[in-house]
Amino acid sequence: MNTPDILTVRSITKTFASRGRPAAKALDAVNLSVSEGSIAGLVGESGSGKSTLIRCIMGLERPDTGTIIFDGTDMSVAGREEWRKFRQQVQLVFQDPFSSLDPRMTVESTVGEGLVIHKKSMVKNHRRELVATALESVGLSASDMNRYPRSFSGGQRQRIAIARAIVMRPRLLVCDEPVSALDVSVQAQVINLLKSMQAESNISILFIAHDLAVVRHLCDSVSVLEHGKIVESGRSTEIFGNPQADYTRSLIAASPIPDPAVQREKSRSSLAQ
Amino acid sequence: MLRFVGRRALFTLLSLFSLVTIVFMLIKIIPGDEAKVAAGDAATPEMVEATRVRLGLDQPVPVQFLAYIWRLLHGDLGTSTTTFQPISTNLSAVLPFTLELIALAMMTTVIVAIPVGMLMAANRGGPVDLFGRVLTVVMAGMPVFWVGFMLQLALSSTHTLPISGSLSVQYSVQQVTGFVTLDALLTGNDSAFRDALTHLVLPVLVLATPQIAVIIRTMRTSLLGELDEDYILMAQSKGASRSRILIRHGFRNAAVPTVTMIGLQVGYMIGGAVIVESVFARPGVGAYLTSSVVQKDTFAVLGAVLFIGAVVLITSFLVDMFQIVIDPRVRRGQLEVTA
Amino acid sequence: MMTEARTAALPSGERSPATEVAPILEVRDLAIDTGTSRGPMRLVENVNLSIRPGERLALVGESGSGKSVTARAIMQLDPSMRLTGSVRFAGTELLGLPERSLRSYRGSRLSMVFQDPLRSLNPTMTIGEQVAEPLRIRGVSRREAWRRAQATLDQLGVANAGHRMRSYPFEFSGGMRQRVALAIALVAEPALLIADEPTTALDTRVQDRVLKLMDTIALERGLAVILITHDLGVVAGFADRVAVMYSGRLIEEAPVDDLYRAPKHPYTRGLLDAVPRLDTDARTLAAMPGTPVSPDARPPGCAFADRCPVRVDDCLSVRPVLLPMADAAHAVACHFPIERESK
Repeated sequence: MNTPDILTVRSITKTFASRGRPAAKALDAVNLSVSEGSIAGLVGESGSGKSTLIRCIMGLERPDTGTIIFDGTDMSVAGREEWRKFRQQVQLVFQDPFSSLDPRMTVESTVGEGLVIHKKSMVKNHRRELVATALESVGLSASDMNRYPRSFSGGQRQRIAIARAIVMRPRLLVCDEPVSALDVSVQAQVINLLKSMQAESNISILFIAHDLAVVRHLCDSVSVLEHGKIVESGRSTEIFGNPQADYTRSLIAASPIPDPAVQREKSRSSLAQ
Repeated sequence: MLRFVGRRALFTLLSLFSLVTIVFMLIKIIPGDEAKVAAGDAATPEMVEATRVRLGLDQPVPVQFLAYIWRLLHGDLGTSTTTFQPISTNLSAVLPFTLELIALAMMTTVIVAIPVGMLMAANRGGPVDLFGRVLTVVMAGMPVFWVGFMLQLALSSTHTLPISGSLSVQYSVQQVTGFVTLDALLTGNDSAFRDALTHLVLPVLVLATPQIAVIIRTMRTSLLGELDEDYILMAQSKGASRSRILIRHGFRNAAVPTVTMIGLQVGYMIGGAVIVESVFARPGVGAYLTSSVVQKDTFAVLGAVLFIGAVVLITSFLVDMFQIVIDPRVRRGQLEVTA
Repeated sequence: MMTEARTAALPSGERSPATEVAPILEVRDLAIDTGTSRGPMRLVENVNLSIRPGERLALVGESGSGKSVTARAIMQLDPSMRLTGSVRFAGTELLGLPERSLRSYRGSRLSMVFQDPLRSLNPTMTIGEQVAEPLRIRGVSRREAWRRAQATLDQLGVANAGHRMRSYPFEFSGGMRQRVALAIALVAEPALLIADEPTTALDTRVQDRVLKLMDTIALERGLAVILITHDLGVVAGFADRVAVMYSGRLIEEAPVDDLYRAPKHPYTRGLLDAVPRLDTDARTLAAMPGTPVSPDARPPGCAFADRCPVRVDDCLSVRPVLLPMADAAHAVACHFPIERESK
C-alpha cells in the first residue's frame, strides 16, 4: 500500500504466567498495521487475545517482545513527551456505553475532560466551543452539554463516548466492540457515523469486533486473530471474498445471514459436506 | 484447594507471628521487671537474679524472643503480677465460661438470624421485611452494656431470671471439663444444669442481640442478591416450589458471605464478652482481662490479648475452610476468597 | 441416524406444520402492567400469538420492545407483573391459575432457557443435580432422574456426560453451559420451549452449533419453540414465523420468507435495511433516525410514528391495529403498509 502506516504492531508476543499452569501465550508474534486514513478491522472471538492486544497498543501492558510504532515512533523506547503526544493522538472507545461514562459528570465535563488533562484548552468558553463542535459532529446537539449520561439512550451514549475521543482531534481511534451492545437500528447510526468521520476528517480507525458483517461493511482491511495468532490479514474484499485460513472460513460459515433463503442454502451445503 | 488451604494457613501463621512479635515488644517496652514478677513478692535480689537466669532474661533480646516463642509453644504465657500464678493456668480456669457464653450466643444468633433473614428476603418489601429492618437497626444500635443494665433493672424485682453470676450458691458442680453446664450434665446434676442455663440466658441474649441484627441483615442482603440472579428464574421455570428455590438454590449461595460475616463477628463477640462478663459478674476471659487491666497486671493483659487474638485468627481460618465446603469454586481453586 | 439427518436436512420453510392442528399455545389480547415509582406502567399491550406443535415462532424486537417480558409472562415468572388477557396452553387457561398448578406446567410441559448461560446455572450445584431437578421435583427417583439427565446431556452433545454431571458450571465453557441449560429445559420432554436470546452471549461459531442443535432436537421431538431475539440473522435460519414487537406492541407477523422478502411495516423494513450483511459488499446502511420510544412515553397513535418515513399527522393520534393483509398469513399494524417491494 502506498499510504504510510499510522500504527504498526510488529511481532508482539505476550505471555501470562498463571499459577499452577504452564504459561499461556496470549499473543504470539502478532503483526498488525493501520494505514493512515483507513479503517482496519480486527476480528477475534472471546479468548483470542484481542483485549491483551488492545492493552498493549494503548501502553497499558508491556509486550514481552516486539514493538509498537505510532506515527514513526517506536513506543517501546519513547520518552515522556512522545507518550504525552501518543495519549492525545490515540483515543479509545469502549464497548459498553453504560459503564464507560461517569454518571455524575455532565456531558460537557465528560467530553471536555481530556482537553483539561492535556492542557489543550484551559479557557472555559473556548473549551465549550470545542465540546459543542464535537457533539454536533457526532449528531448530538450543543444543548445536550448540561445533561447527564443517564438521560441518554445507549446509542446516544456511544456518540458521547465518540465525541469524548474526537474532541482531542486524535489521529487514531481504537474502537473496542463499539456497537455490539447497541440495538440494530442504533448500531447502523454509529457505523455510519464512523464511516463519515473517516471520509471527512481522514481519521484512522482500528475497529475491533466479533461481528463479521459489521467488519466487512466498515473496514478497508481485516486481520483475524485466533488464540493469539493472526491467521489471516489483508484487504477486506479479498478476505471475505476468498478466505484462506480454515478459521476464517469457519467464522464466515457460522455467521448468520439475515435472509431465510440464503440460510437454507447454507445449511443444505453444510450437510452436503 | 490445597493451594487455598496452604495460603490461608500461611496467612494465619504470619498474622499469629506478628501478633506475638507485637506483644513481645510491648513486654519489653512497658516498665516492670519480668524476673521480679516471676520470682514473687518475697524474693530476695539473689532469687530474682537466679530467676532471671532461669528464664533466660539475661540473654540478648533476639534470644529472649526465641525463648519467648518456645515458651508460648509450650503454653507458657508468663506469670501474673497479682496472682503469681502462670497466666495460662488462670486463663484455662476461666476459659470455659467464656467459650460457653460465646458458643451459646453464636448458636442463638445462627438459629434466630438465618431463618429471620431468609423470611425477610422472601417477603421483600412486605410488612415482615419492613418491621424486621427497623428492628435490626434498633438492635444493632443498642450498646451491649446498656442493654445489660436495662435487663438487670427490669428483672431485678421479678426474680424470674438470675441477673448475675454463673451458678447459684446452693449448687456445686464437680469439675470434669470446666464447662459448668456440661459438667452438670455429665455428673447427672439436673437441677444445677438448669440453674447454670438460666444464668446464661441474659448474658447470651445481651451478647447475641447486636450479632443477630448484623447476621439478619447480611443474610437478607445476600439472599436478595441471589434471588435476582438468572438461575433463580431458571429454577422457577423448572417448576420448583418457593421453599425449594429459597433453600436449595438461594440459601446455599447466600451462605458464603453470611458465614464469612459470622466468622468476623466472633472477634466482636469476644470484645462483647469483656463487657457482658463485667456487667453480669460472670467469670471468664473478659472478666479476667478487665480485672487485670484494673490491677495493672501488664503480663496478664498481654497474655489474654495474645490468647484472644489467636482465637480470632484461628476462627477466621476455620471460616475460610468452611467456604471450601459450601462453594465448589473455592474448592477447585477457581475463586479466591478475600475475607 | 439416517432419518435424523434427513429430517434435519429439510429446511425450516419446507416443513409444513399441519394448519388444522390446534395451537399448543394461544395468547389473546395479553397486556402486562408493572408498578413503578410513578404509578402503573403498561409494558406490553394487545399481544396475540399462537403457535402449533412443532412450529418455531421468532419474537423479534430491540431492547425495551417487550419481547422478553412477554416470554416471561407466558411462564408467569414475575409476580410483580399484572397480566390481563388470556394465555391458553394445550387448552388450559394459564392466567389466574394458582401457583401450585402453574408449577406443574413449568419445566415439564413448557420450559425456558435464558440469555446468559453462566448466570442461569446455579454456581454451587453440580450439573447433574441441576439437569435432574425438573424430574426430581416431580417425584422421579434419584437413579431414574440421573439416568434421564445423562441421556438428555448425551443427546445435546455433552461429551462424557456421565462423568461431567459431577462438575460445576464454572468448569464448563459458555457453549457447554448453554447445552446444559437446554438439557434442563428439555429433560422433562416439554411440548413448548421458550428460548430468550439463547445464543446472544455466545461466540459466532458456538452460536451456530447451539442453533443447529436446537434445530435437530426440535425436529426430533416435534417441539414447538418460541425464539426471542434481536438478531435477524439468527431468525432467518431458525424460524417458521416471525412476530415483530415495537414499544410493547406487536406490529407485524408473517411467515419468515414473506417477512424478509416483503416486509409491510416501515419499522421492519428499516430494521432489515439497517443490518449489515456478510454476503454482500458494502452498501450504505439505511440507519433509522431516532431511538425507540419507551412504553411510558408512547403516543396515543402509532409508537413508531416519530421515526417513520411515511407517517402522516394522524398516525400520532390514531392507533393502527394488527390486521391481516389480503393473504391471511401476513398481518401488520400500520395505516400505510408497504404495498410491495420498493427496492
